[in-house]
Amino acid sequence: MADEKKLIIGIDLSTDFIQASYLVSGMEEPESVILGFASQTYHIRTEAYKKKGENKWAFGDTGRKYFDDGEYLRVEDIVTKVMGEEPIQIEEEQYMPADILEGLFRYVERECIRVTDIEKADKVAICVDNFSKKLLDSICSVLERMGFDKGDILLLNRTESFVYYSLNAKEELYQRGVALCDFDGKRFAYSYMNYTNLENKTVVMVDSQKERIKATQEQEVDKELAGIAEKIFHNVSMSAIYLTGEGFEKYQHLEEFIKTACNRKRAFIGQNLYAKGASLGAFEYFYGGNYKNRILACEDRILADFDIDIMEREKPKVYRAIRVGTNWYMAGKKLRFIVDDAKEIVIHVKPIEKKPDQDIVISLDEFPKRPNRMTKLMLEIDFSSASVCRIALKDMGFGDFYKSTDKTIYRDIRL
Amino acid sequence: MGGLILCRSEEAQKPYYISCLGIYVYSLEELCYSIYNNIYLLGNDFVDEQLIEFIRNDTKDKWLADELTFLKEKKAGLRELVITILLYVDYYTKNEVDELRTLIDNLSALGTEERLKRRADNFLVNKKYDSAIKNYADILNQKEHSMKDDFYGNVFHNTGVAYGRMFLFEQAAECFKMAYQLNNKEESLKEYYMAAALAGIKVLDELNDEELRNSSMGEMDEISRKIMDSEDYIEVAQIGRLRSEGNFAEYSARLKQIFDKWKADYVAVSR
Repeated sequence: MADEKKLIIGIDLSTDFIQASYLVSGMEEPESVILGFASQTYHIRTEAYKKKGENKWAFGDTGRKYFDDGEYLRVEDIVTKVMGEEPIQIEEEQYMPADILEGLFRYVERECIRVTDIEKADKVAICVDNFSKKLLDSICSVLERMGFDKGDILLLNRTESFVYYSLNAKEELYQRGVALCDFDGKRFAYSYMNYTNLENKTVVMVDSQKERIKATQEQEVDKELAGIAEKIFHNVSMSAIYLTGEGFEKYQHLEEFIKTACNRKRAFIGQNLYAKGASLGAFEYFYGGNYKNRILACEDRILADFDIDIMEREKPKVYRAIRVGTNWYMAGKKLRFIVDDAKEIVIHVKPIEKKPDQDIVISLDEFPKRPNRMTKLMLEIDFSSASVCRIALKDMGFGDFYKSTDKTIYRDIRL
Repeated sequence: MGGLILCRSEEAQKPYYISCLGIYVYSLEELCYSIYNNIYLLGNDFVDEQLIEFIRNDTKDKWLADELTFLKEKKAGLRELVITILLYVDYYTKNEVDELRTLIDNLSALGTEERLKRRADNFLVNKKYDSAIKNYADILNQKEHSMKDDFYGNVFHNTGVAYGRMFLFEQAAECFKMAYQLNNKEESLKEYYMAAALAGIKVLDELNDEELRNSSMGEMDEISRKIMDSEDYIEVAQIGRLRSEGNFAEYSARLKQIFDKWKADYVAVSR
């Protein structure tokens, strides 16, 4: 029965376009979803269209047609507006950008459900090109309003999507490294994924560069891109290269660039890499374990383990609160502890790079003195980036026996 | 060796009310604490469907809920159910759980009246005076009395203590009188004298030991002096000064505060 299957939706949300893919339990590869019916395209613009005089909204090709016919008004730059958080004035009413984004997400979700014939999506992954806390918090909030539990949401950046997409391919396509060229017509972003072995684990690293393309005439663009490719691919061996972005659709004859970039490697071109990578990332994050011995050390990933000394069944133990290679936005943790004759809490921060370990010691002297095992502490680790986090240790009391004093101690850590 | 114990199950948004103890618990650790420190007070119906659903849905511990459901289907008794909870949750040590297991086994070996007294004593120690009085009364109302007189004397004595702490000195005096007549303990007689003095009632002639009575009154005076040095008394005296200084607004506010606290305290002990 269709509704017993688990549905994962992967969405690539950029400032200009939105795309989606889905993965149903049992599928080996995610499938892209056609969002633009008239144009039969996988992507639609990140825009919304409101009917004049009514609170009625449309998206994608349909909305665009209504707008072209003069029946609807257009709201562009939804992502930028969500980050701005200011209400948008449309005709006589004000609308919150997050509400408009919710409409767009619901449209995409509906399409995924329609093609899969599954009642509800189980997990959702959103890949963004701007991994800022403000945007991520807004997206999370919208998804929760749509009925997703916080624990069913994965937010990731494009580099991570690229990694998941690459690692899901056959090993021969990434064994010697793999590159991604993302060209939107004006900006050229290059990422190179490779890996190294470190203490029984494989560390997957990604180096990235961005260039602004000054040329606009196709021949000149080709020349400029070829020059960049010559620099970055010179003496770098790799198994495969992926080309994505509007620029590769706009400019159809980038022969010099193709010759330079794709020489002696497998080459693929397509526009759905990030959306599919998001689905694959969600599968790994929620159900996987294929990457157990792999540490993803790319952009926005925490490059340190956070270990805490605890007692378990009367024996000392180390509890890994945060694993190296975790996406910083998803890494936030809230842990509760019972104080059993302890004087302090020790958090060991162990970077994988050549940086010294840090031991964060927080004395419990400032907390109320109570009988043993009648104080509960809440430890919250909250990241604002991959290298900066705040630790908060709060007295929770012990239920009705001892009320919480709300006493909180903070520590800021820079990795 | 000390340290931090990680709580593996969740904190409930909505607490579970343990009616026989009159307390709310939000977590499995608090549940363990309640079980361990009130084992005398738990009835055979303690681990019921509501508690299991709390464990399953509120603390999100499916495994423990399923295990308790399974044990109940197999007609497991209170001992097995509470020991399962205590061993599963990482709060008490194995030795501590074994001690409790022994205590429960010993309790089972006791007669009905002795078990009831342990239960009542536990209510008394936990300041649940009304419940303590009811349980002591249950002992005295048993159809068959198999214990010696001093046992019932001690029951009366503790009942008197419970009444005394609820400021019901007349009832307390009556209980201490009955206690002495059965257990012949000097302590019960002294308490009788003090309760009678506080209630303003005359001591029975046949129980009037002048020397002991004077000594008891001396002790009461000493206690009264110590009370005047206590923080609570000083606070009340300060409130009184506010009135004499004409600061009526603050006087009323602080008085209300203290009355509300005393009322809440009294309600808590009257369970």
